[in-house]
Amino acid sequence: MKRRVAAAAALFVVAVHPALAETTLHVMSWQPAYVAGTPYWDKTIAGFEAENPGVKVESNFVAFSQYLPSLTAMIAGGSLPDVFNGGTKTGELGRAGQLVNFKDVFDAAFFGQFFKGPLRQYTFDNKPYGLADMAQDFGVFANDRIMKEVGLSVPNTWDELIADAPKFKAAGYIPLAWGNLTRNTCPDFFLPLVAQYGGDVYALDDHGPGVSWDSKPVIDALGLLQRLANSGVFPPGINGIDDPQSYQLAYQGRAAMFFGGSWTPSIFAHDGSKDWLDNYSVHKVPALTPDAVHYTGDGAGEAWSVNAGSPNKDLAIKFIAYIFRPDVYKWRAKGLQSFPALASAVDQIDNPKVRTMIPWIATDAADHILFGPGSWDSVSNVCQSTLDGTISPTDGAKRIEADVMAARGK
Amino acid sequence: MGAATRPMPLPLRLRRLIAPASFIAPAALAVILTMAVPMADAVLLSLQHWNGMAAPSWAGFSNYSNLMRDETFFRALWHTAYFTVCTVILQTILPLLIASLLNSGIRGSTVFRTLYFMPVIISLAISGLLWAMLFEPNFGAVNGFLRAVGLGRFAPLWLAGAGTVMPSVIIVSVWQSLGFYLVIFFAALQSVPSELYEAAQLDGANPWSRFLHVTVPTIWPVILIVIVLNTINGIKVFDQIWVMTAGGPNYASATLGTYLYTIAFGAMGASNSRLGYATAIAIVILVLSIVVSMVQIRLGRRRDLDSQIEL
Repeated sequence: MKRRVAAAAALFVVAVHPALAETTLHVMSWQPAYVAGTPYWDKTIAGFEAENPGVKVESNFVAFSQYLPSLTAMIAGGSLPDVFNGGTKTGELGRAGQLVNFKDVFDAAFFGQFFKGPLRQYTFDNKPYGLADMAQDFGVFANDRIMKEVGLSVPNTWDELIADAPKFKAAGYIPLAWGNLTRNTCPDFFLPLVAQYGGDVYALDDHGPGVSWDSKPVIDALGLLQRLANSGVFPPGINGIDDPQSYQLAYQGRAAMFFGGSWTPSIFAHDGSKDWLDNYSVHKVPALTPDAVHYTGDGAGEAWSVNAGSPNKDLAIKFIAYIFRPDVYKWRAKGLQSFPALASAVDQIDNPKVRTMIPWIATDAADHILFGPGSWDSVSNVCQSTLDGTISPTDGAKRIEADVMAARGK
Repeated sequence: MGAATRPMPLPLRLRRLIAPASFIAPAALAVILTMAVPMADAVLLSLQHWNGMAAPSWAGFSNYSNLMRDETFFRALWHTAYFTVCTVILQTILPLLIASLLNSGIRGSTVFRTLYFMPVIISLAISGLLWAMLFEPNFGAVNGFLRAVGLGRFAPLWLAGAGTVMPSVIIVSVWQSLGFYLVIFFAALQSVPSELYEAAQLDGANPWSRFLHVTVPTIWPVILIVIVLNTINGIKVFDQIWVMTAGGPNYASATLGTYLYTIAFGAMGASNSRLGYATAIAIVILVLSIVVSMVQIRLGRRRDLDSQIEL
């Protein structure tokens, strides 16, 4: 009996004593590589756990298609993880006081490590609520074999692309492939066009004084999008083609060019056909005129945020500081072979296509992710209606403005 | 202790209720907690504005009145009705006809039943993804076949075309569920007394008349169940369409279920959750399911009654 009592007492002490109990840090992202079993992620987690005895990091992967619905349910249920990607919810969550303002916990030198665009994207009211995991920009990936066969080069301007479209089609190829079934690629394509026409998407998203979605740059950009669609530049039924299908159009040699981001070369490396891998090259997206800026989407899809209401908040901040330490960050950059958010990790990228795209962030960057309430829905709805010709550019711009105003209760 | 202080015995009828009530209570409690309470909560939420982040605010019936002005809601309602009517007709008549054929004693009946049933064991998500690849307009196998036989000019956009997307998802729905209803009908047909067919044959009834005047009235309760099941499945259809088209292209296959999901959780990348509005759509789906099912059951009973009167 005495032995049983002693064992129970020991168990009780272990259970309640903070030094002996294990703290679990819940980390959630949509990056499929950030799970147990990925060597560089395992190394990252093991390093943090070794520096923080009694701490266990639990990595929770949620597929991108289900990520925001899951996050929405977590927000509604008041059960956010300790560290997570806030996606397009980052601005709202931060402004509602649910995220840590990293300016309160990190110094200028820490922020100085990041490329400006990705950092700006997750900064609201001068408060960075998210820190970009990987940066990104977009380009046109061309199948050089097909380009040679058709006798064309990658167009420098949109008008050239429109003029070349019939030649590609006559040869049996889709000029420029991408898919918009999930409605998130069209804004990636369209919003930098607003910048090409002189608009400021950051200002539009925040809807400051003097800017509105029914302004000329937006109407012109929608007009160009519609001209491209009407000229047969995009795949037939683009609104019904999802991302994996659009990749297949490139891999199977059905498309001469593919519109994608700086993360796609690492996907190509895993999934691409030999023909594609042997023949593809990357180029800037076309511009309005030969000497104009080739504005393309920059920033970051994934950015880490810390739950301000978490009981493990301090530990979560420590985790963020750790994963952005240059000596630790480089493992992820090397492993993912995607555009790094920290300039110090650029030398970890071996993929020549990604290396080609990295300098564009300094010369051709434009915003392409919207955070304001209602903005993303409104733009993606009008974008797909523009692609299938069911709305005119002027009406489309008016619709975005009206929907955004309604969503914001103005 | 006098008799006056003794507690009054419970009336006999009440005492008799104690035992059955105590048996039912745990299940009733579970139903109340897991069904009735969330349902009442949902009704309450449908009367509020809530983005999931800030505190909900009272909206009265504005979510419902906004639905009446929402074009996409009416498109989704129309697609739901279209899907429901087509699947109720096709998923009732086709399996019934095939089950009758298989029940008529043709050779290889077991093999055919197994073949028809096979799609049922595949998950909806997987079959949806497979069919999405088959229907892909540029490199999918279906259009590949059409091009191979010289019909490339007629190759439709299938799931990518606004005019072809609903028929395409209906084809997949019929393919997937035909075997399930076929087995139900086949089991029902086994119970039809063969004497009825023999008597009808003696009266000079041809196979079609026997099917119409013997088979259908005899298994009518089963047909009614299949119709009700198909109706409910049609009204609440979500998973198959979400996997295949996500309600697109441009809401051309949006149903009440997919529209509800888009409003509640946003499409990919969306940032504007409207949980109160989405719950109002959910309540509309619930009311529609109840009303349509009740009407069907009532009509079925009337038909039952009519046939009894005729007999």
